[in-house]
Amino acid sequence: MNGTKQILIVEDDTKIAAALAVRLNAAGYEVLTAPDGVQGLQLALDHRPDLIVMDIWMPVGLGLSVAQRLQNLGLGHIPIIVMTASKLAGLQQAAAEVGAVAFFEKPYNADELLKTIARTLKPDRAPPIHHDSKHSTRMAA
Amino acid sequence: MIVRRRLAAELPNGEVAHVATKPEFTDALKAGGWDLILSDYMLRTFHGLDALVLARELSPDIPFLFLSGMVGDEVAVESLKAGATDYVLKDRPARLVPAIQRALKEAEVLAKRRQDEKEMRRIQAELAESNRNLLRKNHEIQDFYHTLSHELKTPLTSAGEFISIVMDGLGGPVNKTQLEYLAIAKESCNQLRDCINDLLDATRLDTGKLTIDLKPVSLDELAHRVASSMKPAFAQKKISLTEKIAPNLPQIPLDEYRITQVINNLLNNGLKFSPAGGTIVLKVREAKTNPEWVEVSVSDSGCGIAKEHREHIFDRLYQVKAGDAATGQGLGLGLYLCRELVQLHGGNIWVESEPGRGSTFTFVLPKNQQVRWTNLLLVDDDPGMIDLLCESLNREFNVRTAGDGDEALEQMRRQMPDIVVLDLALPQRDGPAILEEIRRNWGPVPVIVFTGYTDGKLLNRALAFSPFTLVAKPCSPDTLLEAIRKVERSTDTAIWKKNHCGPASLQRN
Repeated sequence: MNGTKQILIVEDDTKIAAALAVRLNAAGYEVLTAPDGVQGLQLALDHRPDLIVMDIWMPVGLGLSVAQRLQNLGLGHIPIIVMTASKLAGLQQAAAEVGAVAFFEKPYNADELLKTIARTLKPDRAPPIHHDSKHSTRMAA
Repeated sequence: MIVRRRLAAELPNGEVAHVATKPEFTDALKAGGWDLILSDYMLRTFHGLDALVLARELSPDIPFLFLSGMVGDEVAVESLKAGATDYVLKDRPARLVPAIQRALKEAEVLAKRRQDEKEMRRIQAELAESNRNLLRKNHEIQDFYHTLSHELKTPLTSAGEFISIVMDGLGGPVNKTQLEYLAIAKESCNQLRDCINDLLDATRLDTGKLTIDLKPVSLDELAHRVASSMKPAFAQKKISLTEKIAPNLPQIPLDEYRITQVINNLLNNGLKFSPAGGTIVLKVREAKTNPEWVEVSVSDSGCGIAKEHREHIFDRLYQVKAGDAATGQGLGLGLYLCRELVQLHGGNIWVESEPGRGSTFTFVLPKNQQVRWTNLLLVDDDPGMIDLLCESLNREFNVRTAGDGDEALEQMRRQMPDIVVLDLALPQRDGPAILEEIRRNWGPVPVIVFTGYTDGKLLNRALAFSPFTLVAKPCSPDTLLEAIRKVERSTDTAIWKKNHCGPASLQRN
C-alpha cells in the first residue's frame, strides 16, 4: 500500500457513480464502483476498501442490508456514508442504526461530502458525524 | 268464522287467509306478503307459542296477534315476552279490530324505521368505503410524489454534479465566460431541486404528513446564517441585504430546517422581485405588539403587491401574473408553504405592501408554546391529583404521567425525564421500590418525593436512595410548582440535563 485510500462507490445510477468517481479521483482517492449491492459486497470482500459511499435504493440488495451483511462478514469497521434521493421519513434513522457514519441527501453537496470523507479517513480521529442540515437527528457514530 | 265476518265488516280492504296446521303456516310464511298474523293461542294441532316462534323466525317484522279464549295475565305476559305484538281475548271481540289497526300502524312505523336504519347503515358503509378509498388514494399520492421526486432528483444530481465538476476545473481549464454559463446552469439545477422539494412538502401538507420537530433555537443566529448563505446570490444581482437582528433574543421552540426554509423563501422572493440596485432588509426582533412573540420580517424595495394579489398571495398555487417574466417563476407553492409552516409553529404570517414602494413580509413565532424546556415525569396513582397538578404544571413543563411503578419505569425508558415527581404510596411497586429501580438504572436523575406525612415508613425506605427533594402532601399545586422550579434551577438538574440529554429531551410532548 502506498497510502492511497481506496473508496468503494455502490450506486446504481451510473452517471452519479461517474460524478462521484471523478470527484474522489481528483481528491486523490482510488475508486472502485459497483452498480448494485451484491456486486458491492463482492468488491468490498475482495478489496477491503477504506470507506464505502452507498446509495440506499438499488435494484439488487438495498444499501442498508449491504451494510448489515458487511458487519456479518467482519467488515463492519469500514465506514459507510449513505446517500439517497429519497425523502422518505426514517431513512436517516435506519442508516444510523446500521452504523452509517454520515447521511447525504441527493443532490449532495460535494464539498461537504469530501470534507466528511477526509475527516473519516484521518487516522486517530473519531469518525465525524455529518447530517444534512435538514435532518436534525444526530447520527450515532 | 265469527272473526272473519267481523274482519270483513270492519276492514273491507283487508284480505284474510286461514291456515290450521304447522306445515300450512310455514308455507304461508315462506310465501310471504302478509301484513299481520292473527293466531289462536291454543291451536288444535300445535301450540300458539310455537306458531309465534316460527313467525318471529321467518317473518320477524310482521305483527303477530294472539286471539284466545284463555284468561290470565300470565299467558298474556308470556306471549308478549315471546314477541307477540298484542293479545286479544275472544270474549271481547270489539277490541280485535282496533288492536289490529294499531298493530298495523306500529308495524308500518317500525318498517319505516328499519328502512331508515338500513339506509343509514348503507350510507355509513358507503362513507367508510369512500374513506378507505381516500386514505388509499392519499397513500398513493404520497407514494407517487416520493417516487417522482426520487426519479427527478437522480438525474438532477448527476447533471448538477457534472456542472460543478467542470466548474471546479476537474475536466480541464474553463474560461471565464464558460464559468458564467455553467453557473447559470448550476443555478437552474438548484431551482429545480428547490421546486421538487416544495412539491414534496406541499404533498406532505395535503396528506397531513408534514410534521415539525421543535427544539429551542436562537432565531437571531439562524436568521443570520440564512442571510449569510444567500449573500453571493444577492451580490450577483447587485441587491444589498441588510440585517437588522436584535441581539440576545431568547431561544425559541422551532423546527430549524423549516424556519430556515421560510426565511430562505422570503429572501428569495425579495431577490426575485427586486430590481438591481435594490435593498432588502431582514429584521428579527421581539414583536412590537406583544413580547410573547418574536418577529421576523423581510422588506424589499420591489414593485410592491396590489391589494387584490395581497389577499391571495399565500394561497396554494397562487401566482402573481404580471407582464414581467420573472414573476411567472416557480410553482406558486413557496408562500403557501411559508404560511403553512409558520402556522404549524403556532405563528402567523402576513404581508404589507404598497404598489411601487416595496413589500414587507412578516411572520411571528411564539417564544414559548409547544416546547417545555424541562421534561417532568409525574408519578401518582390518584388520577384526580394528576389532573389537578398537570393543569398548573403543563404551562411550564413538558409533563408525562404514570399511575404506577411499571408505567413510571416504562416512561423512564421511553423518554428520560429531567425531573421525576414521585408519590410514595403506590399500589404494587411502591415509591421507594421505584426509586431504587431509578437509582440503579439511571443514577442521579433529580427526584422530588411528593408524599403525605403518614408515609413515615415509606419515607425511611426511600431515604436509602437519596438525595431527593421532599415536598409534603397535601399542598397546593403552587407549592409543588415552586419546588419544581427550584429543582429545575439547581446545578444537579443542569448537570443531569447536560449529561443525559439528547434531542429527545427537548422535543415537544
